[in-house]
Amino acid sequence: MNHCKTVGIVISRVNYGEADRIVTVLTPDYGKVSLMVKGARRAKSKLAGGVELFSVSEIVFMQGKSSLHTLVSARLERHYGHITADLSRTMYGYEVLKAVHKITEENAEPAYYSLLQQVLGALDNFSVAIELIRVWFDARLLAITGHTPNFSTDRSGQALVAATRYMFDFDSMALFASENGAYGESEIKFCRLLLEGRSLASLAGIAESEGIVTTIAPTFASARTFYLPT
Amino acid sequence: MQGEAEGVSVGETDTLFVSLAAQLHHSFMQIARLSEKSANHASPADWRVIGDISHAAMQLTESYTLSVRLQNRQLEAQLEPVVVSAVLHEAVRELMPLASLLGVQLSVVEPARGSLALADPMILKAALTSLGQVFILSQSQQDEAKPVKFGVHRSRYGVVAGMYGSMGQLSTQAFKRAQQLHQRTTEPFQALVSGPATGVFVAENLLMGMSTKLHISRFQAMNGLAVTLPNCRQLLLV
Amino acid sequence: MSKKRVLLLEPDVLLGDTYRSALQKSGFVVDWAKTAEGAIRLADKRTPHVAVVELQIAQHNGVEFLYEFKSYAEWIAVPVVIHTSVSAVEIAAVSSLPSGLNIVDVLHKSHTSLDELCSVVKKQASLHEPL
Repeated sequence: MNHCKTVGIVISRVNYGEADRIVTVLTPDYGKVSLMVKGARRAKSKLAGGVELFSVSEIVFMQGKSSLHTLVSARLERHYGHITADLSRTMYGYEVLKAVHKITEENAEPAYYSLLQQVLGALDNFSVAIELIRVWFDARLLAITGHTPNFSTDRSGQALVAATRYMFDFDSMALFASENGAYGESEIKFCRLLLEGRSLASLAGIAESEGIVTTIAPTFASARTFYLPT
Repeated sequence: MQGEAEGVSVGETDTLFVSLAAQLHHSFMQIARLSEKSANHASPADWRVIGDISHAAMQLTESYTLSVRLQNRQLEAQLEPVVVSAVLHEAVRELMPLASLLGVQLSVVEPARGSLALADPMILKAALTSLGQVFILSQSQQDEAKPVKFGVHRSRYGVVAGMYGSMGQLSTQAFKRAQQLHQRTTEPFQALVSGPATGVFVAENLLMGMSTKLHISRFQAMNGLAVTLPNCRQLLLV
Repeated sequence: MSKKRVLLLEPDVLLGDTYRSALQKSGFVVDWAKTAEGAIRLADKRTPHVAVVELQIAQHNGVEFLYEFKSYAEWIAVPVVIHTSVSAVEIAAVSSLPSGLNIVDVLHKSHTSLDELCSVVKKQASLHEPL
């Protein structure tokens, strides 16, 4: 049997039988793996262990004949310990884990691992507002799954005009001109940067980003709900 | 010889006030529920509990007020030779009602030889009392409360006075994290205690008035938070 | 009929003692833990009919506890009443709490009398039989 060594982020833990747990780990090179952790339930601390939530761990596992493998060892590499100091961040962190678990049911590309790592890192950093993290996560998920909203042209393919206000059309996933539209030049520029894959840190540094995020967040949240499994 | 209070921003004062408000809110909630429970048949014991909760809340408020006055330079630290263990004993006397109420053992561990240092005794006592409240509360939140101790010992930097207990997760990293999270979350020092941990930050602010600060310390196989005070050289010559 | 069992996760000694007293007077057996791990150990001994959970606890917050608690098949159906000092502003609304944890009610301590707490717990206990 093969021993495999990699890093991973635990996205789910379920108890199994009297003494064991099954943990689901997202890795950059093996995708999503389900690992049996023998004797974990009887560990002195049921909330601790080598495979913690909100952590990156170096894991070694033995590949089984089925899709369930066995964890041989785990070493905590990085624990995003600040997340649980704040309830909103904790709740959102669990939401993110659940969303990634769901969306990687069929296919767990390396992009999801990178996305999750960046989101957890941002949640761990209290200088990055949670609202920005939410909209960034929604945008990146849409981009990875091929549902990128169009902020380059309007829905009829015309170039966007700086002085014009726009609204977002979910059918075409693009903007259309509207006198009282929520989207102006600043919002559109921000969305472009968001979809380009700009880092959270650089987005957080943009002037008035807080107000812009409040405006655009419902668009990305709705698009995600519409197009992606929940 | 007088100490200089370091200036702090208005934002930091506001944060500490919000933390204090949260802590007092908790005390009021305890009193409200206890009053409800005892509405028809309050016993002397119930009244004592209400009195002890109120006393602890007032202690914290007084320490907070002192810290604000130091920051605003309405008061300045008066440094003088102080027998640190005597200050610790006074702090224990202040904290004993709370410790008894919450079922936590409290004591002082002092060196065989004297512990003379340069400090403002009023500020030092207020800081240690505020810190003590948090440690007592922390132990009371464990399923099995272990003793907490005031300890004083010497290091090469001076006289170290602090509060110690069996807190496995208390580390320099956890303390730094708490200082960063103090302004950003309602539970900044989760490794130590649930809630705002106001006493720690009030103690920090008070000690800033003596140009010193809290640090993680280890003493007799226990972890804790302590302050290092300069040795008092004057009386050593006597 | 045997008494119904409440798992109380409450770190504060004074409040915990008060709530336990009130729930016992309402006819419940109360297993009171001050820590998340303590609560898991108590539930391990006897499955509760209802869990009453504070979100602000030392070392692990209440949400972490709930996810851990609900990772055990035998406790998935246990109704959870959040009874917390965290303000309504921070929690917003019940609907903003995570789904799948069987959170049936959110009570804010400062606005909830002992009678109200007992009444909510009674209602939930009557609806649920543990496995």
